[in-house]
Amino acid sequence: MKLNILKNLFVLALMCTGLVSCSLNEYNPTGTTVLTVISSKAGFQLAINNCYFGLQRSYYGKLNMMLCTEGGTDLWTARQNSNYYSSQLKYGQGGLISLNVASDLWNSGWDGIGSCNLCIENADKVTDFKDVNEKNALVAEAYFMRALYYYHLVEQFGDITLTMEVPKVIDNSPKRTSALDIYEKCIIPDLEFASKWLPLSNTAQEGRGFRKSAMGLLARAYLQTKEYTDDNKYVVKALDLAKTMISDCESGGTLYNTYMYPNLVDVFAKGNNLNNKESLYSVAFSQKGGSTNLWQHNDTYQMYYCKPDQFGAILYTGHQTEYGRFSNGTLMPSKYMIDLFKQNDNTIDPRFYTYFQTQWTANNKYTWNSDNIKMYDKTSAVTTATVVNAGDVAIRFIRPEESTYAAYSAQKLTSPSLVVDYNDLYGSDKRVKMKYARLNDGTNADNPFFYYYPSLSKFNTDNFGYISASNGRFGCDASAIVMRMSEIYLIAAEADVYLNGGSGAAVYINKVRTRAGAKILSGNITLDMVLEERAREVGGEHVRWYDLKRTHKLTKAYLLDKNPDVGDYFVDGYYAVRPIPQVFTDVIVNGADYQNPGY
Amino acid sequence: MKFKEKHFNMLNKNALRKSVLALLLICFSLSSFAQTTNTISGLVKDLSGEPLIGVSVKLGNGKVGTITDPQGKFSLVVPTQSSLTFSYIGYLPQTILANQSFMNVVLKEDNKNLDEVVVVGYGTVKKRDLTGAIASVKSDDIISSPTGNAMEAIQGKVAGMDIVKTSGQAGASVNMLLRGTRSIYGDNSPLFIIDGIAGSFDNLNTYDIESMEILKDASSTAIYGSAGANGVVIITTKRGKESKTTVNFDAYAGVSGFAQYPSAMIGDEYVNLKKEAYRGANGNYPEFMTSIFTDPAVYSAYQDNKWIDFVGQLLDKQTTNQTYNLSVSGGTEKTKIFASYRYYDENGLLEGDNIKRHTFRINVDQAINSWIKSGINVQIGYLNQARRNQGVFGNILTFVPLGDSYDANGNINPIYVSTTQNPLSDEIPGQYRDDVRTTSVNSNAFVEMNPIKGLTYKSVFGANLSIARNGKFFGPQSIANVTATYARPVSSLEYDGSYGYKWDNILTYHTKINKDHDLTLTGISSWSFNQDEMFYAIGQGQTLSSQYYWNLLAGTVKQGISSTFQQSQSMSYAGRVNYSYKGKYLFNASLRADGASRLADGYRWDAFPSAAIAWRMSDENFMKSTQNWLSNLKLRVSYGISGSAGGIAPYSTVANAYTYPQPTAFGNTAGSSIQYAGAYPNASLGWEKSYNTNLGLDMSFLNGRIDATLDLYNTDTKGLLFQRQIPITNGVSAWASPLSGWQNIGQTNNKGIELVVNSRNIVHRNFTWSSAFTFSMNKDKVVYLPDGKDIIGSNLFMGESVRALYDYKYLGIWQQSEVTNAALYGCVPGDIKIATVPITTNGVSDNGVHKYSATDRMYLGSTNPLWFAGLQNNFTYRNFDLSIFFQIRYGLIQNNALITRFNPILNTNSSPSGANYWTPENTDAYYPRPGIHSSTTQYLGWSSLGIVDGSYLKIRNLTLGYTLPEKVLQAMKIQKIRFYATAYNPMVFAFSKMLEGQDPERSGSDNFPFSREFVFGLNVTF
Repeated sequence: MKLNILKNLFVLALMCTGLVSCSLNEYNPTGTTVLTVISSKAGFQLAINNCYFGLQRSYYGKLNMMLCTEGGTDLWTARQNSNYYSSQLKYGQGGLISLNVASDLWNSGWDGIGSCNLCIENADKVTDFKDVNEKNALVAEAYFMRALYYYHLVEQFGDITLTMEVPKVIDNSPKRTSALDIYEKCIIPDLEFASKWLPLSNTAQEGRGFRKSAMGLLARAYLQTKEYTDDNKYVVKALDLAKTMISDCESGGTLYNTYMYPNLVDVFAKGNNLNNKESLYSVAFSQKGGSTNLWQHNDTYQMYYCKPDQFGAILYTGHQTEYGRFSNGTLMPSKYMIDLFKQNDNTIDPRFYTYFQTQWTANNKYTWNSDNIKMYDKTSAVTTATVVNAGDVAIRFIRPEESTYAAYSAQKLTSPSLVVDYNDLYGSDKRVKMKYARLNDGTNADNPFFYYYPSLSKFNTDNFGYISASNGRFGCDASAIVMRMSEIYLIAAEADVYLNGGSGAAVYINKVRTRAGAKILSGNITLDMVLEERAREVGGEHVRWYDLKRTHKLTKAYLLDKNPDVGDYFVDGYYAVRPIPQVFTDVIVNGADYQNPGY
Repeated sequence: MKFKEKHFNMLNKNALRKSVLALLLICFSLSSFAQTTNTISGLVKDLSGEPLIGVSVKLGNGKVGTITDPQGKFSLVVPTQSSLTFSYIGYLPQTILANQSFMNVVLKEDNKNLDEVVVVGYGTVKKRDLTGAIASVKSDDIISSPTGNAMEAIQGKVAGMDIVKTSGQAGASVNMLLRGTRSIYGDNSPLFIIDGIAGSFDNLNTYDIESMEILKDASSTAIYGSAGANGVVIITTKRGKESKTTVNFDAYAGVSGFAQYPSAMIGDEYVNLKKEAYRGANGNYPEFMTSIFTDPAVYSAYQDNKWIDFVGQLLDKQTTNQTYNLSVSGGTEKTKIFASYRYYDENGLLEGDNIKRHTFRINVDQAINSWIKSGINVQIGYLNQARRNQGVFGNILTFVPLGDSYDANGNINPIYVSTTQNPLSDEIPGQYRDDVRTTSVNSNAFVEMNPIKGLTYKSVFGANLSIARNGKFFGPQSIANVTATYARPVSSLEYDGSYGYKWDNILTYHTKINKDHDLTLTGISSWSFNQDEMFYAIGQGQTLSSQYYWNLLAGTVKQGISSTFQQSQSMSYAGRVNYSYKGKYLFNASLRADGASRLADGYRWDAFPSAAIAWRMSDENFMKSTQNWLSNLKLRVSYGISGSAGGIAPYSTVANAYTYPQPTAFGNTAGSSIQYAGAYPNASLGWEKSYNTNLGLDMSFLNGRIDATLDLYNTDTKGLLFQRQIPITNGVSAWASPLSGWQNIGQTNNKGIELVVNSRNIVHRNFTWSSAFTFSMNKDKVVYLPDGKDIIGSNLFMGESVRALYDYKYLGIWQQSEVTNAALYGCVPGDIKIATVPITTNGVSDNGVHKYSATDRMYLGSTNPLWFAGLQNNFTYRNFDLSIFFQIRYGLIQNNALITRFNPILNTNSSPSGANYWTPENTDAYYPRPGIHSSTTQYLGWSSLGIVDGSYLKIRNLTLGYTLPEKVLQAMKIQKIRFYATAYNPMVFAFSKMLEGQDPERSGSDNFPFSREFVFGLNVTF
C-alpha cells in the first residue's frame, strides 16, 4: 500500500513537470521593423536608397518604359513596320491590348511612392541628424523621386490615387484623384521642395537627384499642366525657371551646375556617358548593384537599331566588340521623323547624321547568292561571283536631299553593296513601304529593304560591365539620361509660345539649333515648330508621348496626318491613357470602376 | 457515377460467382487413399444455420482434404480416429474428432476484423469501438508500390485522401488533401504522428511501417487540436516481438524511363508553322527562307538539314532504380528490438538527377519492472541528392531546333547555333551542380507506468534534428538561371539546420463498472518547439570550375552572405472521455486548448471541443434476424471544432524589414536599401476554425465477405486565414510587388461522401480474388468573402470552389465566314474565340458583343476533383499472386502549361509537336492562326487554350508475384521467398484529347514528366 502511494506520488510529480506551461512569446533575434531601422541617419539612408528601387528596376533603360514614352507617337513605328509590340507601338493594331501592358511601370512606380512616403513621414523621427539642413537635403531626394514617379504614373494612366502617407488602414477601394490635382498637390510642391534642398552635385553618386534635376523636372511639370488646364499660371513659372537655369548655364553653371556641350557630337560621345555634364538627371547602372539580372541593366542601346546582319556582309558577332553594334531593335523611325531633318533650304539638319547611323561597313567577306540577287533586285552586274569585302561599305541609306543621291541611286541595282533608297523605304502616303516592285521580274515582293533603316544611335555604347557572348547577354552600364539641358531651352520656347505667342521663342530654339549646326529660325515660333524641334533634338529620349499629350496632339487626326502606320489604330478618348493593370484591378473591390474607359 | 454502378453490378454477380465456385469445387474433388478408413460426411453451417460453401476440410496432418459443396456438404475418406480441421476465411477454424459418420459442424464467425486494434490519437481502440472516421492501411499495401515515399505508396487507397504527385523529378514528394481544401492559404497537409509523436514522413523507410491510420473526422482529430485540423496520419513502425526472431530481406531493381512528353517540332512540321506565321504576319508565304531564318547561322543549319530533336536527346534514356532493405526483429519477455536498414537509389529521367537514401532504424522496448516500461525509437537518415534544373524542359521544347547539338566527337556543343546556348549545356561535365545532402535524426523515447490498475501514465519525448546542405555551382557554360544580380560562373553553399522537440504527457484511466459500463479518461499536455537556422554564402567569378562550391572565396568578382533564424513554439492541454455501454452505445468527447506563438498576442489561445456517439445496431436483439446477411451495422455521428494556424509563418504579426545589400546603385557604388519583408502585419490575427460534422455507417455483409464503410461529412470553416494582396496604391510593397497581409476573414464549406468496400469475391484453396474499392466525393466552396465580393486577384469567388480556375472560356477559332462578327470582338479570322460576359451601360446590355476584355473572364471550374476512386484487385492462384490497382480522378480542370507552349509567333523558336493550328485551309483546328499576334503574353484569351478537363483513369500498379512452395523452403530452412515483377504507373487514360501523350496527374506542369517504372523484386523472410 505504501509502495502504491509512493508510486502515485512519483507519477504525479512527473506529470506536473509535464504540465508546466512554457512561454509563447515569439523570439526573433534577427527580426526588426522598418521604423526601428530608419530612426537613425544610417538607417534612413537605406530607406532613401530604396526610393530609387522602382526607377532603376523598371523605368529608364528598360524597353517597356521606352515603348510607353516614345511608341505610338508620330516619330516611330515598329521595326519593319511589323506587329512587334503592337500593344504599345500601334495601339494593338485594332485588336486587343493586354491590360497589363504597363504593369511594370505601375508596380514599380507605386513601390517608389510608398518608399518616398515612408521617408517623408518619418524624417523627423531620425535622432541623429546634425541639423535641419542635413535632414532636408536627404529627405529632398524622397520628394524628388515621389514627384518623378507621380509624373510618369499620371501621364501614363491618367487620374490615379493620391497617396502621400504611410497607410494607417489598408484601403481596398482606392479613389482616383484628377491629374491636375496630383500635379498641384504633390508633383509641383515636392519638386519645389527638392529644388531648394537637394545638393548641387555628387559625381561619385550619379543617379541621385541633384538640385538641377529637381529644377529641370519642375520646369517640365509646370509646362505639362497645359495638358489639363488652360490657365497659364504654371507656364509662367516654367518660363521663369527655365530662364533661371539658362542664365546659370550660360554663366558657367556656378549656381546650379548646369551645362551644355558646345559641340553636338559631345552630347552622346562615349567618353561623356557617365556623369554627362549636359544631363540634368541620369539613372546610373553598375555591376555592383541592381535588382535585375546583370545583363538586364540599361537596354536602351538595343531599342532603335535596325537589322544590318540581315545582309550577309555584316555578321552579328556580339555588340560588345564595336561601338554601337546591335541588331534588330524595336523601333523604326517614321517617314515623318526622317523628313523633320530636311531644312527649309533642302539641306539636312546635321543632327540627322549625329543622332542616326545610316551606313554600315562589312565585317565579313560576302559572296552574293542567287536568292539574294533576286531578293534585292540586282541586275546581271551582280553574280554569284560578286563579293563584298570586309571593310567595304555594305549598306548605305540614301535620301534625296543628299548631293550624292543621284549617283548612288543609279547604282542601287548594280553595286555589290546594298543601297537603301529613302524612296524604297517610305511611300508618298507617309507609310513604310511593305512591298517592293522588282524591276527585274515585275514581282510585287515583300520589301527586302525595310530591315535597313536609319537607326537612332544616341544610346549606342561600349560600356558593358558584363559580357557573356555565348549566352547573348550583355550587361550595359551606361547611364540613362532622363533629361538634359537643351530641353530647358525648348521648354522656355514652348512657354513663350503659350505666353507671348512665340515672339521670344526663337532665341531659345536657336541656341539649340546653333549648337547643332542647323539653320537658325526667325520670326514667331509656333507650337508646331517647337514640337518639330523637340523631335529633332530630344526624339527617342522618353518624352514624345507626353509632348503630344501636353500639346493635345495625341489624336487620331494628328497621327493619321503624320504617321498613318500608327494613326490608323488610334482611337480618340481611349488610347491616350494606358489600361490600369488587371493585376491591380483584380485585387481591389472597385476594380471595374477604377479601370480607364474602353479597356 | 458510372464507376459506382459498375461496383454494384459486381456485388450482384457475387451470387452467380458462388454457383460457379461450386461447380469448380466438384471438378477439384480429390482422390481418396486406400487405408483403414471410414467415409465421413457432414454439413457445415454458420451460426445462423446457413450452409457454408467452400470450407476447407483437412485431415489433421494436412495432407488429405476436401471442400464443402454448394449445399455445405462434404464427404471424405479418413483413417479411423482422425480429427478434421475445418477452416474458412472470415471464420474461426475448428478441429473436431471424426467419430461420427455424419458430422454437423457449425463455424463461428471470426470477428478478427472487428477486434483488430486501431491506433487512434494518444491510444488504441478496437475497431468495433470506433466512433470516428478512421481509415487504416497495412504494411503490405504500402510496400507494394516501388517508391521511397510512404504517402505516394498509398495513393488512391484511402477514401477522402487525394494524393497527387506533380513532378517526376527524383525524390519528388506528393501533394495531399484530406477531405478537400478548407484553408485557402493554410497548409492543407495533414499532421503526421510517427510512433506517438509529431514528425515528418519524408525520411521514413516504407518497409518499417507496420500500419498507417488516417484520422478524418473532427472527433478523431480533435485530440490533436489545431495541428490536426487537416486530418491526422498516425504511422506506427514495426516493433520486435517476443521470442520470435525474424529476418526480412527485400530487394528490387527496376528500369524507369518511357516518359510521356511531347517532342518539339522539327523538319517540315516546324518549317510549315514558321511559314504560316510569316503568312499570318505578312499576308503571303515568304519567298525566301532567309525571311524566316534571319540569323545566317540558323539559315545555314537549315540548308544543311541539321535538325535537332532536343526532347529525344534529353529524355530517351532509361535509368535504373534499386532498393535493398534488411530488417531484424526479435526479443525476450523484457526486451524487444526491431532494427532495419534500407538503401534506396532512384535515378530521375535526366542525367544528373538522382537521390540516394540511407535509412537506419532501431526500435527498442524494455520492461523495467512490473509497472514501468520504456522504449526508444531512433531513425537516422542520410539523403544524397543531385538535382537538375527545371528550366531545361522549357528550353528543349522551344529552342531553335537547328544546329549542332553535339560536336564531331560526340560532346555537347555549348553553343549549338549562332550565339544560342545548348539547352543540354548543364550536362557538359562540371558545368552544373545542385547537390543536397541531408542528415536527419528522428528519435523519441517514452516511459510508461501502470502504478495502479487501469491508470497509465505515458511521457513521450521526441526530438528531430536535421542538417541540410545545398551546394550549387553554375559553370561558365551552364544554362540554368543563376541567382538574380549574379553572373556565371557562380557558386553558393547553404546550410539549413533545424531542431525541434516535442514533449507529450498522457494520463489514461480505464475502468469497467458493472461489466456494462466501460470508461476511459485521458488527460494530455503537449509542448512543441521548433527552431530553424540558415546560413548562405555565394561567390561569383571563380576561374576553376573544378572547385565547384568548395572554394567560394575564389569567386573574387562578387560575394554575398546571409543568415536567418526562425523559432516557434506551441503548448496544448487536452482531455478526453470515452464511454461505452455494453459495447453497443459508444460515446466520446474531448476538449483541447491550443496556444501558438505565431499568432497575435491576445489571440494565441483557443479551445477546440468535439464529441461523437456510435451505436452498434447489429448487437441489438431486433437485428438478430438479419445476422445471416448483415453481420455488423454501426452508426456513428460526430461533431467537432478544429483550428488552424498552419498557413502563417512565424513573425506574421509584426512588420518585418529586410536590408538588401545591393538592389540599387549610385555611380559605381552599390546602394543597400531597406524594404518590407514577408507579410504585412496584422496585430489581431487569430485561429481559423472548422466546424465538422461526420455521419458514418460501418457494415459487414455475407458473413464478413463484404465490409463496407460509408461516411458523410460537412465542414464549415470560419475566420479563414486569408492572405490578401494589398492594393499597391497603398504604397506598401516589396521588390516592386504588392505585399500581402493575413486576415481572419471569409468562410468555406466542404461536403463529401466516402465509401470503402472490401470484398472477398472468390475464396478457394487454390484461387482467391479479393477487391478493395474506395470512393470519395468532395465539394468545396467559398461561402463568404470580405465585403461580400469576389476577389479576382486572389482567385476567390463566392459560391465556387476554393481551387478555382477563373479565366477566359475557349469556344473555338473565329472562321473566315465570321469575319464581320469577329471584328466586333476585336478579332480577325484565325483568332481565338472566347465566351464574353454582357456589359450593361445605362441599363442597356451589349449582349456580350464587345472587344474582349478582362471582364470576360469567368469561373471555369475547380482543380480539385469532384470525385476520385481506387480499385485494387488481388488474385492468387496456387503460389502466384497478381494485383492490379486502378485509380480515377474525375471532374476537375487543369491549366496545362504544355498546351500553351505552342508558339504561334513569327520567330524561330519551336513548339510541341502535333499542334493543330488554324490556317485558311485548315479551319478545324484547336490553336489560333500563327503570326497574327507578336506575343502570346499580350494575346488576350491565349490562356483559355490551356484549360482542359483534367480527369483521368490510371493503372497505377500491376504486380505479379510467385512464392516458392513450402516444400522447397523447408529444405532451405527459409520461411518465405517471393519473387515479383511490378509495372508502376504503366498506363493512363486522359479524358481530354488535348492531354494525349501527357500524364494528367501532373496537373498541367510542363516540367519533369513521370517515368514509367518496371521493377523486379524479391522478399525473403528467415
